[in-house]
Amino acid sequence: MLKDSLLIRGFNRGDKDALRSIYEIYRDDLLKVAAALLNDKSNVEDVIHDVFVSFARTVGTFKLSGSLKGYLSICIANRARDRNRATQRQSTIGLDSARLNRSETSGPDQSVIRSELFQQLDYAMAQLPYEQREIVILHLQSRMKFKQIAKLKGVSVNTVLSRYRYGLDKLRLILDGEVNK
Amino acid sequence: MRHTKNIKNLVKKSYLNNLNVPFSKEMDERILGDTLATMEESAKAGPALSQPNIWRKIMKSKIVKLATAAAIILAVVISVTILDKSAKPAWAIEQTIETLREIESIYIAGYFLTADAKKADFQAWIVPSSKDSSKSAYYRFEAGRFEPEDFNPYDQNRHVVVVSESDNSTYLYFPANTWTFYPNQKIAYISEGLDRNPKDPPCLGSDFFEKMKKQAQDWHEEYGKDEETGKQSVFVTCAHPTRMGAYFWWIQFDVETKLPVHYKLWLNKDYTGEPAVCVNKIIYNPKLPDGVFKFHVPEETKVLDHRELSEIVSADPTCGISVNELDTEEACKRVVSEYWEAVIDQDWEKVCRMRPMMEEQTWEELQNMYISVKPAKLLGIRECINIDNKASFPIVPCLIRMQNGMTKVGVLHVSIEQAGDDKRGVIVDSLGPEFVDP
Repeated sequence: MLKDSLLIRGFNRGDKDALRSIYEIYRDDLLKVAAALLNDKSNVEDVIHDVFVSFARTVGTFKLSGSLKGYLSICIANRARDRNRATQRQSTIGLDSARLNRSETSGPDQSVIRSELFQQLDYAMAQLPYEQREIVILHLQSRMKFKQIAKLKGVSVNTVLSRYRYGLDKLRLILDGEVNK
Repeated sequence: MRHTKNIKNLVKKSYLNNLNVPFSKEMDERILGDTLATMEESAKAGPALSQPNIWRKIMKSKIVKLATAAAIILAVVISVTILDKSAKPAWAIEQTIETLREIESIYIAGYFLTADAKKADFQAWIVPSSKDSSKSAYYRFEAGRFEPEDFNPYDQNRHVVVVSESDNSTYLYFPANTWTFYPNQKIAYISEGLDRNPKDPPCLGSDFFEKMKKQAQDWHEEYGKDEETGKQSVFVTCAHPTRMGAYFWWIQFDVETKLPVHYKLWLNKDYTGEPAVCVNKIIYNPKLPDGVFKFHVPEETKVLDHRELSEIVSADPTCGISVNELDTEEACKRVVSEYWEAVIDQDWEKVCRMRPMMEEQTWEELQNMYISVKPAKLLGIRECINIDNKASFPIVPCLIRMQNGMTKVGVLHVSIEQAGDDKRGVIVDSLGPEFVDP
């Protein structure tokens, strides 16, 4: 957005309102990205916090190439990967129990019984290797182009595309298995 | 078995849309509080810590000290020379170029001649690209009936082009009454990249005049006064090539502001007859209306999203047919021909593969319709439209005879997509209803 450039200009000048607007505009989307990528949902807030604090340190020098939402989403994805690794090291629980843990640690709003389909999808997403889940979420939630993801992640477009394809194929296999049971 | 596209929609609609994350005001305050405090600290620490260190390092060397002094003297000499030169002529194109460097946005309004030589009003809001100001980073072009500067994103009767650098997308909207066979069809095309139509007005940034200065032929300047305001002006005529071929320009520059205030373009070098484009209003750094570079899809509009199609073909390279070694027009005709052949043969698997954007439910309806009206023979393919407009899709009209002997027109959008090393031709969608009377 044109707004991005204006906000970044303001942010680089140290304008607090610009930074507050950036946070308010992108918070909800970034929360979803974090929630979809983290094995333990209780880490969502910390990941958002860390990303915004790191971003704030770049004041005066931040240069935007592409969309700000894309940039912040990639930062969330990188942090989420680190968190997942740390969580995995701390605990020996398997993926299934980690997934169970996610819903148990949810807040009151989350205690509402979700649809069966949502639970199947949540389960299927958790089964995906992180690098595939990451591309699927960045593309579908953050609406990032494959080229943009490839550029920001420093991998080739073909790698991104094949991860996306494998991710969707695996989701399909898992879901068909679930549905046909 | 679920299709890749269905899985994608399932993840979007049933998973991501329902993924509610509880977030409290306290969390907001904690994150924002820490973030704002960090920014404040970094802003204070940044210049105080870094700048003196760099300066000391640089100025330690005697050679660097001498070079710095020489550079300052040179800069002063150049500035004096430039000031001296600029004082002589009343106007020079270099002054316009310099002045335009400070311009962040432009509004233009005027008219252009349509293919049937009728005048059509247009207006455009433009933000030049910071990389090349002869091109727009943000652009909204509107043609139709409206008062100048009237921004109404919900007016469905204006032809609209929106180019957005941050979306890296181009939006193109055609109102009803655009198409011959489909008088009520409204269509919006969305494509990746900034595909400005060559016929659209150029972006009058400093780089545009920089290029014009180098490339223009038969440059002629004449001093005079503005007809309405009486302000001193320079009238420049020149031939300057554009993507549409040579255009013959007439531009009026205001001597005081140095900025262009009117321009006209002719296709003939004699500057006779009505100009092809006439811009009679230019406002620099206008107040940009909120959401001027945002595209609103009008109700009941068919939306054809090229980005979505590219994703589908990238994810499933078996879509469509291979059209390697064919030029775009030949490829489009081949795709349409094979598509109707498959419909006539009731080869539904192939039809489905050739039309990958079709939703499951719509596909069932379409299949039932084909079975009931029974297309029997492809009588001919007419000339393809929109072959070179990257912001839309090529349109291919066909004549088809039905099994009951009636002849119908079917107009299809076709796309030629690159899937790895393979060039794939696919049917995007019909222009309006699948069949209409000729």
